[in-house]
Amino acid sequence: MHFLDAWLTLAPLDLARLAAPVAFLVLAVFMPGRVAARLSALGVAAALPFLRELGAPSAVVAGWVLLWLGIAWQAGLPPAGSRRSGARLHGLESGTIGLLLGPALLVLIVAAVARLDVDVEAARRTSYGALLVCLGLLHLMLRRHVVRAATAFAAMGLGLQVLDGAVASTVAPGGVPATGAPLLGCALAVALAVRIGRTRDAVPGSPWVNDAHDLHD
Amino acid sequence: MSPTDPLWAVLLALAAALALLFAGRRGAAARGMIGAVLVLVPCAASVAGLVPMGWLAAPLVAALVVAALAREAADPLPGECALKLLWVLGGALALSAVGAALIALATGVASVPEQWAVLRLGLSPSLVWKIAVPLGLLAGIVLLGGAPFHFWVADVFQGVPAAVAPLAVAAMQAAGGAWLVSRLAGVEGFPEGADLAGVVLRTAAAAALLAGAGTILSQRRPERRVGTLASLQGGLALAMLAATLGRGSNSPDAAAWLVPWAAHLALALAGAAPLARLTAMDSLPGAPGSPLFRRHPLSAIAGLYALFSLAGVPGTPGAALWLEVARHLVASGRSGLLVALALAWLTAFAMAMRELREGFGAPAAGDALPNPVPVPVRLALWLSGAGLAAVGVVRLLAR
Amino acid sequence: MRTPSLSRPDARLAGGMLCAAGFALLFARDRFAPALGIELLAAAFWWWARATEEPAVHVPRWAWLRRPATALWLAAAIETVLPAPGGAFAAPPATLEFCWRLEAVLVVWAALELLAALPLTRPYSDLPGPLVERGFWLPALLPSAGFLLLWRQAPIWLDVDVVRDVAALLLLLTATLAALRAFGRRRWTAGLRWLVVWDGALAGVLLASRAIPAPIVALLWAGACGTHTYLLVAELGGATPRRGPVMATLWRATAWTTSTALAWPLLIWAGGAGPHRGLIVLALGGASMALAAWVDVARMPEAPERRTIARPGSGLALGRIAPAFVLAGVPLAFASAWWLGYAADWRLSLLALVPALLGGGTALLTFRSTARAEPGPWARAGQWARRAARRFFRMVVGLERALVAGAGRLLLALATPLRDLHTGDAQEYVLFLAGVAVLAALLPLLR
Repeated sequence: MHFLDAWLTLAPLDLARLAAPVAFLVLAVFMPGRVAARLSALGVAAALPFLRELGAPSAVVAGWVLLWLGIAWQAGLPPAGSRRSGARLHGLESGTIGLLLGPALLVLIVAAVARLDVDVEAARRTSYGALLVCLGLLHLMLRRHVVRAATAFAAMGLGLQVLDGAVASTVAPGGVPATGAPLLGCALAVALAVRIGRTRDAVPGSPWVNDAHDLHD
Repeated sequence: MSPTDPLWAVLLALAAALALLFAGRRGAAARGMIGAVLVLVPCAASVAGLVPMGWLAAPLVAALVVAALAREAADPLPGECALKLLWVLGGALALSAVGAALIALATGVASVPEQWAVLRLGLSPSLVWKIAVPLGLLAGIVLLGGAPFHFWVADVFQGVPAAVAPLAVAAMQAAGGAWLVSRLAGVEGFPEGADLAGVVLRTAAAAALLAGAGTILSQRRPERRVGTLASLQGGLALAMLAATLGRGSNSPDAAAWLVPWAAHLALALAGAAPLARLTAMDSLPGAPGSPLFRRHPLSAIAGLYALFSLAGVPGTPGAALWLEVARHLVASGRSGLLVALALAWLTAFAMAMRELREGFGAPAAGDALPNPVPVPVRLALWLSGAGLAAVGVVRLLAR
Repeated sequence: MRTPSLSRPDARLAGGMLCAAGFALLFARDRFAPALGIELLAAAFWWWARATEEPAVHVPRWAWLRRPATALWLAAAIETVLPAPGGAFAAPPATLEFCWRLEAVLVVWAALELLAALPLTRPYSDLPGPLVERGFWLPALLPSAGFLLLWRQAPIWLDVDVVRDVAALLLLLTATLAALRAFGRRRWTAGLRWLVVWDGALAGVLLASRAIPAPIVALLWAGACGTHTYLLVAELGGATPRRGPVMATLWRATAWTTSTALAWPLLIWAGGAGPHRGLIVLALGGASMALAAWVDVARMPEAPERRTIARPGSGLALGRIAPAFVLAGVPLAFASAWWLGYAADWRLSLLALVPALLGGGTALLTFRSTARAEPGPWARAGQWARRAARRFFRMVVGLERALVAGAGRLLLALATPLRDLHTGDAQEYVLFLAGVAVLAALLPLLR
């Protein structure tokens, strides 16, 4: 009941505030290309200052905004003459399986959240954090560009930040703000994704995940 | 066993890695060499258990290794390794963090042992911990190279230079073990949770051992075979954790076993990895032996001893580890897992003997003697093989 | 500076030393000794094979010897991990029972492979060993190793009923096939190699039946197998056992007697065993005994004496003394068995001699003082029987190979789609991760 109340009793403005980052991430998951990736990153960056469910100090929120702006910059850069991935049919297969697995995982986690004996706010934050993490995982399963996959890692990190905030408020009811550990970890992952993407673009000239299969028997 | 044994083993592994780095100094930039050293030293420290980091070890070691591999170079293979590691480890760590958060929310405490104690009170719905516990263990299983995630280990040995791969893999697998130990600290206080965790670990161990056994004999590349042996070692660690979990004394026994296990892994891989690079792929039966075996048979034997130890061939220190796990499985009555362990051991043994026979091959009396293998490479083989032999002798004398 | 290189040991010498060490270890009681022994034997064959002019042929031909060694290593490992009585930890009884059975299966598996009792490498005795020119007798070492394994490790497998019964059945079938094959081969040495397999297999059945004490079984086996092996090896040294009518008759009698002595207690036991067991053992054991006796007597080609004047001291040659010792050993062995408590019904004892007398006696009838220009009806019948035996053996082996190949193709067919689906890219790894996460979260709920 707490879980349903957490969402059904939400004011329309609050719902819009929470839905905005999710909508931009869904855009990044389902729409290929640099433009969609840049738009979604910019949208998330714009929506973050209003996302008080992060439960983090202003410095951490600012850090997240900068991170998403950085992703928008990198994701929108033109390719260095790289070719398109030839593995289109394979993308269809992995996309189908990903579309089955991602929502299945989300349903399982949300089912667990629904049984948690926590207050309305914590239930909402936990389910929201799980949604962001699953969207990030779905992005990794559906989209195949290495640099633009920074969006996926950032989404997962954002989800973990929200979860961290929910945990901090539950474990220490005095309201100790969440740490910046998810931000640091996420920034590292994003930096590595971008670095790997640029490296793969230079040698061997393809930033596509499906073209990276030289390591095999 | 003396507490300094793992330290000596890791120091020897580090020395072997430095010798291999020195051997490759002409083709590599100084910056690359320094970068490799900066990766090797922390990896060695974490394997030796010098820096007790608990669950933090996993993300830090993974990030260090991926960062080291994600550098621009003429060879694209390390970059591909970095890509695959980041994709699978990033996702695994995120899902495990979700699992850990769910348990913290369900219990209202942050300390893991206290969480199990609170769960035992029965105040939290079972659905929460039944979903959260397996998710929480996922990162450890992936890092240990349990199937179906055993491919990353073989990829690292194929794509990463032999100087860096052994310690990097050993450090990541050790971090995976540390993750599992930290997540399961105090679980014996919550029997239902211990039961569930035991099922997860046993399933993961069986999958790791069986998949490794099924893969190893069909692999053509010697480097990937060494990688699959390393993933079998991960299966061994999972089986040990599952066995000690069932006997009610998880954390002290498992943590005490993991450090010498990781040290042995690092030292054995330090010899097996360069040996694999010097062995021919797809050797035909009756073909002449590899140049290393023909020109430097004793050095080849030293390298083979490291490979044998990894495969648990009787008479090596590695065999003692395999037998110890088997003993614990017998004591806890896990016959199914014992059969999986036996199959994995058989295939590892068969693979090791095949390497020996293909390495020496048929005598090539008429052919000219092959070029000598560089001294630093042979030194690495000797450090590993002789070091393992010394560890074995010391243990035998201590018994 | 070049490091001093090791001088390469002579292949024959190195292989011989490995072989000798391997056989010595088979007698040891240490738990890892038999495994190491068979491993050394396999290494000996590998060393010889790689030193031949065609290593590409011989190395894979004898690579299967690692299989019995591996089975024994696993058996030794199982024995190592089992708790000692009163030890630091106890194991559940069901697990102990399982481990003991597994150990018995592994020991028997290794022995059966060496005794050509499994379909994987049954026809190895048809092949000349490595060291082709002078090594045609080497495959006779393998059934000997197989029997020694069964004998020295008897406490491990004899007390596990299922394992013992299945092993006995397989060995009996092997003995029959070996005798058929020996009967069907034209060449004397090829027939002898199969008779060595027959000796080991039948001795194994005798061990499993517990008809007489195990040490006596070993003595009887040593007599029969030793005779056949000596005849094989002696071909290298001028074929002295079949030089001249006296020597040939002496060795025919020795081979006939020792083979009969080996099968005789088993057939006596079969006469008193249950209806099903007894019938099977009597039928297959008796038939194989008759065929082996025929080969012992009829197939040894007498070689003409090359010397007109006997060499000084040749009267006391090994070739003349050995049969006397062996023939004297047979009644001594049975006397020892009687001393240890063995007793048999006199009627069954007489009946049990019938197959040997039938086989050997019929073979004696084929001896003629002068050769015929055209083969008579009996000779033609004999040739037909030999052809039929060859065809039957080839049919059995062909069927076994087809079954094994079929199982292999089925496994490949199941595994190939998995390999084809496996792309090896990072996205696939993430799919695995998500799949395993869903499974891991779902399964505890379904338990």
